[in-house]
Amino acid sequence: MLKVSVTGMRMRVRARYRVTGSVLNDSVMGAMLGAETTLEIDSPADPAQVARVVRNAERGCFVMQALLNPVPVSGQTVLNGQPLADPHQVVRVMDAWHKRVAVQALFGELSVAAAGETPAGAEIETETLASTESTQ
Amino acid sequence: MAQGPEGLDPTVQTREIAFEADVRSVTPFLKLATVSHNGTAHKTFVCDEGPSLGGLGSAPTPLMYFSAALAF
Repeated sequence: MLKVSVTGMRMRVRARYRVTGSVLNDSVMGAMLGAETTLEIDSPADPAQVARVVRNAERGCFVMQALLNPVPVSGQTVLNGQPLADPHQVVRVMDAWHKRVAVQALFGELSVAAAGETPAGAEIETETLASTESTQ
Repeated sequence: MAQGPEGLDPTVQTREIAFEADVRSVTPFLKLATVSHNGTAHKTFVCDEGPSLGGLGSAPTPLMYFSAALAF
């Protein structure tokens, strides 16, 4: 433990999102636009020590790190006990390599990885699915 | 025809959403969050950590909320 006395803490977060398209039109797409945080700390400790605590807290925060460093996220649907083969359901917030790994893990060998709508700002390749059939 | 929820209106193509969270510590790990949606519909809930980290284990951890949010 860093043993820095903190007598009070308040954090304010503003998280901004945008949703485009329509659920009814099968075109809905959500995106997180960004977030701003303000951390207020009451502490008699040396500011340098407090800064160290904050630095460690942010580096150790799984949520913060998940937002700063997007990770592979895959998904599958089981319909009436059977896998529903729909590569378009694979979450696309990942780079091309991770998309390929996720799609292949879920649906077997596909000639092309994944495609479709991509979140604004996501620097990922746009490819077209050649097949939606599972080889499993 | 019955009018559906505003959020499902297909004629609206773009919606901007902002959540504002105000989180205060009650103990070092027990925190109270009040979150509003575009400045309205305030909801308050708590999080804690388990005894292994020095918390009380009295509420879901932040990671529990985060993980479950994928399913919500």
